[in-house]
Amino acid sequence: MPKRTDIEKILIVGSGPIVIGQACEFDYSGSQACKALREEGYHIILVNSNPATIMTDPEMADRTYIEPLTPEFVEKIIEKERPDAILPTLGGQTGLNITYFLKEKGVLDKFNVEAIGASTEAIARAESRKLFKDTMQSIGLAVPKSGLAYSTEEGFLLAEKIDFPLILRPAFTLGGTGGSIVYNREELKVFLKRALDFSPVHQVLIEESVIGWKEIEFEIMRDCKDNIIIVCSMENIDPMGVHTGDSAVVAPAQTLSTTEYNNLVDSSKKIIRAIGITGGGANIQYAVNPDNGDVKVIEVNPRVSRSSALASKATGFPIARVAAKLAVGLSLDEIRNDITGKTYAFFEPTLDYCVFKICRFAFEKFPGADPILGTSMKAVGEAMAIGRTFKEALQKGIRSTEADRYGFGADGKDISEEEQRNMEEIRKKLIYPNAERFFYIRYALQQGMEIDDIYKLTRIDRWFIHNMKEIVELENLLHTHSLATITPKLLRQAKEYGFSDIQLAYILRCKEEQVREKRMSAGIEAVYKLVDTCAGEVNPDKPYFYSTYETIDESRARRKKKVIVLGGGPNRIGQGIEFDYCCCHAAFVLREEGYEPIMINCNPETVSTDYDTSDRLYFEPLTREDVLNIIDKEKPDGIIVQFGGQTPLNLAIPLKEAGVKILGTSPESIDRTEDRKRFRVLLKKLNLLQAEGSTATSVFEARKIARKIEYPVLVRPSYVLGGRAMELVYDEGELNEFMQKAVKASPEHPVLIDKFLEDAIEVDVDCVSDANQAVICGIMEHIEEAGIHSGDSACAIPPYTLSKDIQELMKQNTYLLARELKVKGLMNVQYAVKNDRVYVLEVNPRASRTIPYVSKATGVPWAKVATKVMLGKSLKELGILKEVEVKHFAIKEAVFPFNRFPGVDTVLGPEMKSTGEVMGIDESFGVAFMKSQIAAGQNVPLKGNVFVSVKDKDKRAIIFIVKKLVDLGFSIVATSGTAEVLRKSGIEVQNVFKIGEGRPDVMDLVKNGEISLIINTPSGKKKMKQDEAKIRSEAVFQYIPVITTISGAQATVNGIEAAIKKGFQVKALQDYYEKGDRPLFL
Amino acid sequence: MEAILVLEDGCVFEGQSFGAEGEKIGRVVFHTGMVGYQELMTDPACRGLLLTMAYPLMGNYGINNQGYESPVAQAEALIVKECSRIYSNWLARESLQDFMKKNNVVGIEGIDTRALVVHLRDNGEMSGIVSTKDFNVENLKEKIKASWCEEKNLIQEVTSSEPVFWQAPEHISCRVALVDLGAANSLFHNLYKANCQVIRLPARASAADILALNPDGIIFSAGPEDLKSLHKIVEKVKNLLGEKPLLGISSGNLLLALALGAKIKQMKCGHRGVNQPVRSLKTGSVAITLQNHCFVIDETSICRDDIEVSEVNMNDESIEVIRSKNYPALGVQYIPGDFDAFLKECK
Repeated sequence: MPKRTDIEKILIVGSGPIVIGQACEFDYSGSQACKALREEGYHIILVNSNPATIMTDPEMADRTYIEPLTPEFVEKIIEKERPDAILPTLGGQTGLNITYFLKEKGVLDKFNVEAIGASTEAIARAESRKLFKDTMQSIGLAVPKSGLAYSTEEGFLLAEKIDFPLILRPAFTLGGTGGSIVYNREELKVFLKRALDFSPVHQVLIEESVIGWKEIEFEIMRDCKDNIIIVCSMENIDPMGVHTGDSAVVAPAQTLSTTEYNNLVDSSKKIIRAIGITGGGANIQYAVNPDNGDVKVIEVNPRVSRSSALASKATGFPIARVAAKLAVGLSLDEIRNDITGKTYAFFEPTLDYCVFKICRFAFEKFPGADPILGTSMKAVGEAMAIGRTFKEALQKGIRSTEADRYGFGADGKDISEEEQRNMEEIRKKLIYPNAERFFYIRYALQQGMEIDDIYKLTRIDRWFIHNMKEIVELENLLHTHSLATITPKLLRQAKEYGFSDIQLAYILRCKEEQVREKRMSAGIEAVYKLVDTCAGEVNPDKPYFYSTYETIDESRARRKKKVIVLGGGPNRIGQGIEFDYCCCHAAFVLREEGYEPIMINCNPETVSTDYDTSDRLYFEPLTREDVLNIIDKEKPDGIIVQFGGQTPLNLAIPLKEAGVKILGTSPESIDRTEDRKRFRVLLKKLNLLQAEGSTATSVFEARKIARKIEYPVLVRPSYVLGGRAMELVYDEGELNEFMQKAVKASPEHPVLIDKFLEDAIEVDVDCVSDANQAVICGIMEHIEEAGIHSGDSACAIPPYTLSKDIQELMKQNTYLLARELKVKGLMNVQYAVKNDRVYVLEVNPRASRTIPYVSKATGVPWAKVATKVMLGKSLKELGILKEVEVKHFAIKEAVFPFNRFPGVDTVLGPEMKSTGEVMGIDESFGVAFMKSQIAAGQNVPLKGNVFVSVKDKDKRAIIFIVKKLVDLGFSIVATSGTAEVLRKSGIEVQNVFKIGEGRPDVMDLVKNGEISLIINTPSGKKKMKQDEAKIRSEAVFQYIPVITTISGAQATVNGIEAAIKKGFQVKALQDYYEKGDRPLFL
Repeated sequence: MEAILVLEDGCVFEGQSFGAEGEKIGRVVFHTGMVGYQELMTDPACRGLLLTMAYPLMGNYGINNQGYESPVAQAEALIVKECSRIYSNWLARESLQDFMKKNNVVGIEGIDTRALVVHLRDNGEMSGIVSTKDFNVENLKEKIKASWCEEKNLIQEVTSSEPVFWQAPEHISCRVALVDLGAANSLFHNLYKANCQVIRLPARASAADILALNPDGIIFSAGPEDLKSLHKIVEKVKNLLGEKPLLGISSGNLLLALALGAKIKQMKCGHRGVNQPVRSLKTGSVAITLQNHCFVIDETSICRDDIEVSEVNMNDESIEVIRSKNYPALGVQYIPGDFDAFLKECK
């Protein structure tokens, strides 16, 4: 069927900030959809609050709105743009929910907007538990026994009908938030209460548990002519009970017999018909009983998902692109298969390799968080590896996570031998799923535990454990050799089993380089195979590769001008989509400039691993060995390491030593800024101010330095990203505590101790430089004061309190640094401003996390400019001679995963904790700030009770803020100290007990929903700290915004005022930028 | 233990032996399905083939009672990247290795099967030899050449020896005579599900024998692509044209085409897999089909007055379904999931 001509304008809804459960896979799917639909000639309107996305690049859509993703804002956009259709299936749960609510509210009907891709009826059949159950039963498929509870009493009634253990699933939450498994009545009482609190509609599904069953997923698509294809089957290695987003996954399914597989295919076809998808895809999750093959349908997602992104990268079949085309009425047989270039989308991909996905966790960032994996997703990112065997894919996958492991153990990073013999601990780790579970399987195997026994404890299929055992057996054989005695045959087998050179160096007791030399001289080199969607049946057009150790190499490297871009690997806190954005832009520019862009990355969620982004894609781990192997084949003219965050930057020196040409700023300059000692020398040379500080290599030395520069001090290990293990230390006791942890965190590098600049304003400055000249991209004034990690604080472009002189001084300092470091490309400098003095905190001669945000705020694609500079263009040639002045405000706000980690303190500090960001943009600062808060999911109230409790130092500053709140109609609640100060200034205050002073105390008020906003600046005292943490933690669960800084409170009050007085308007990015007066979108 | 695969063009792949030991010569083909090794190996249509599985990990779910397309293994050898040392599935009764040993199927693993697949794709299917005892490449090449002189009747090897009355469904809608050119069990199951009573006849059954049973329709099943043997029975099919509705499936389709006066040609590389897209020329509707063949009807040999082409392969436009314009006769190149069009003719 030809595409629809009755619609012209289509609104695409994005998924907003990166949070646990919804990451950049939706940028990948959304950008694909934009491209696919514009190709067909449609007018695209896009809304997404996340500025770090490729999809919000102004050239991706005709109209781009960076506005909060709420039904209210989307309604305003609909009213303004009058789209004919809305495409809700590409923006994750957020996009789906918004569309559903807009339909319920009558907005879609009012403006005559049709939901395409999945009708609101289809969404309801998949999302509403009741309708879903009925639909499945009507086609003869089983679902787990379940019932809905709105109260604890109802829960207990249900528990009499369904056997324990029970799964609790709160309604309308994302990625299993607030869900849990309960084994007895006591746990039911506790966890059901929590689950009910989590659900915005206080509804919890109580479900029969199928814990320990196999979890199988199918990606399926259907068009308007009822053509159906199965894109991919996937098997979760972790059994039911571990959220699929946390599970390790293989594609295709490995342990299903033909009969079982075919039955699931048939069921999937029935399901997609019954749900009623007539132009799109779905993800279907099944539980399969490994003992008798019983099947239950667990869930259907009538949209693209994290799994569909994985399936797309695993097979080469672009699900989102095809889904977008199906949504406008095209059928599968009318869409070309881009990978082969010869066949159509109407066919089922086949694989001739094994795909392994493994998650990246961030428990180290959240002390006190429960590290056991369950029904609520906790992973912050994922890596995918491709191998010809499961063993190879497993080992590549583990080293792809960049969690400092280089394969399935045996890399010198295992727990001590004594610990490895602690069977009790091993058993515990096998029973309770955790991030290190595979390593514990290895320890168990090493201790001689039988496959069957491990299976009984983990319920991980015997086939997977058997493969792990084969790796262990080979490892044990390798241990009997040394570098001198190992035969080429055995060495080759080790490489076929996925062992990295680092592992082999550890096992053979030599250096990584020696292993490499040995195998190169024996001719044991990686070969590259194609991902072609058809298992070799057709010669493909798109060069999408993975490495393996076999005979024939298909990489067909071309003799062209080419540049390798190193990606950022799996998302983690501190390194996420922002860096992927920069890598993609680098690839786009390379292509424009006549170079062949070659991408190396292993993150399946990203746009950079779309085969369309670069000319050649290598889906490979970002380790020295894997990157060098590719360089050997491709012999590139240069390599770009400054866009992918810390991962590629850490490779800069090893790669340079191996003779690779690093484009842009030299590794030598990078080292001058990363090595704190050299950094001090650099600043001294340039006469720039720096907080007092020094480097310590022992606890004794640290104490001495701290005493000299006086507490509070900022301590951290050198060479870290996202402020890992950085802490603000107030006294010697805390310092001792930190030193024990820190030395462990980074054994090769010393600890840095700096004077902490209290109450300073922190400023980020990004600049681009061609080594002769530098131009400022943007000056970002942080809303929170210095001491909070820059990735976690809100910030504003342009600065809203800094004087022109101070700004000018920062510019001059930045130019100075750029010139001295001969920066070629991007550089980020962090300053602290205190008493009109400008201190340099940090210099990063690479793309920073803020580049996409600055680009969206200023309308200049800075990563592209930087790439051109790296290729040898001067800023003058590019016409970039002066700073961009913006007439609006763009506020960036961070988004945190605290609701995933119950009990963890939400207070911010020097260690980064946010997973994502949003941007609010408007002509007024207040409105822009308010938009950023709404977009970040902060439930900022326009009326109600405000609880105020601030430390003594802040008591003066808070008066003005509270006065304004009272003027705006708020009531104030405060504990005795703060209340007294406020009352003295003539403010009406209601007193409330602190925790432990009497009841009802402030905690009671928070729990009862009587507080709508909390302003609480942490006092630093221990007992107080604990109580405050409890309040903040509770507030997060009640969706009550908590402000922990005076400057944050100030901005919020400005925002509330603006919202009340001015209201909100929406405006497309394209309308903010004036064409002509600046080099737009090079 | 070592094993070696040598192709007629001299390509050599060295690997390890699994399953039975020995030496097997045959046509080397590749299949792209990710499950179904048991069904494929026991499918009589794979008689005499050296089967390469494009998916690298085999044997994971073992061998079960549900997966037999015939009681014994038909393929001569199995060529894989890795055969699992254990199987893990509740249905499994034995391992792939044990099954192959019992059925004398030689296995070679540890080779770059993707390289082999790409080689066959680019150079066409060809003869080859798998050996676990002779590693002299020149010898092995000679053995391949020698095998070309041997007369083999693959259809004779797989067809049933006597007529068999298949179990009748409860409500019989149609009685069909099935000329067994190497029919797979799933064909009987599917016909049973379509409420057909099936009389399975040996390939040698004469036209008169068949008509004496007075069936509602006659099916020529799929089976090995043994053209010599097929040519021998073309006359019989000609005699049946117009007598009863006919259905030819896969190699049976080739047979029917020959009887209708068309010619057969070999494709460079066969269609062997579970994902071949097929388009109806009448309605434009498309379907994904299961296929296992490397000969097709030569479209240039078709007389459009006699034969109507109703479906073609979407990827290479090769002929998938034909209909006689003069007789009730239908030929399908893929393995059909239903028989509606044919059964309509039978009533």
